[in-house]
Amino acid sequence: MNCEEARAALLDWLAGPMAANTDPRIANHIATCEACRQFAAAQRSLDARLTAAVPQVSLSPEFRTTLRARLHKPQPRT
Amino acid sequence: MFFATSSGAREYQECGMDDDVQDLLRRRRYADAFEQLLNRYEAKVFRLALALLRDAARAEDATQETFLKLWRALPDYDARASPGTWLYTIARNTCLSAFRSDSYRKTLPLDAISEPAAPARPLLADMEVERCLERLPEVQRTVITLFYLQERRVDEVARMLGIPEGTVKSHLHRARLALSETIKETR
Repeated sequence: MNCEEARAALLDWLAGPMAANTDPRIANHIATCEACRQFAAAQRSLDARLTAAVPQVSLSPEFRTTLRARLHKPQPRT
Repeated sequence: MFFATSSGAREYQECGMDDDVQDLLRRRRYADAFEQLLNRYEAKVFRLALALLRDAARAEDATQETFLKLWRALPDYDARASPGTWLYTIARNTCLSAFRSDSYRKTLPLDAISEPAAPARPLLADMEVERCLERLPEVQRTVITLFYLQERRVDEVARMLGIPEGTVKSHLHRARLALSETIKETR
């Protein structure tokens, strides 16, 4: 597995179900390639930051009141 | 594990989450189903709208529109996607319509339509991530928002956007690489 293949596989793994085991070939490559190790570390850091990047803004207190007023009609077909 | 990530819970969290809503819909208990979806998804829909429209007031309007459309469409729900996924699709389409609306165009030069206006105040706690997200093309920003900020799986994002899973992965990869580069540049 070369660097390009390892990085593509790494990104694929990041987009997949996290419970799945990583391809041992990726781990082997990263263990022996400093550049890919740094790439993996950068992706891990980015993954954590994106996951933690929760919006600070929330809906206004009037949101539901306004919505319910607008929902009053029309009713869905039954 | 050499590469543990913080998004690992994604795989499990949505499994069966909307089964109760599907059951209510099967029994035509639309008001109850609507309340469940509102309680479960109003904040998430708002966050998606915020990420796409970059303006809290417009995002709240789009969230209102989304739930109004949902209410009117509930009798037509066909169970092809989970109610949550279906709702996200409505939300995304509503946001894109708002984004392209005449009223929004009036506030932006035509060549800026693909780049949302910068928010008046930070929308995310991590301002650097926010600045970098703003520089992504709309589709990549949407995919990143759905995958990370909304914690949806690739297959769900694909259904919401009506594109193949491989295309979602490709957008996700490109976005991640672009974000890594942008963050590196700002250091």
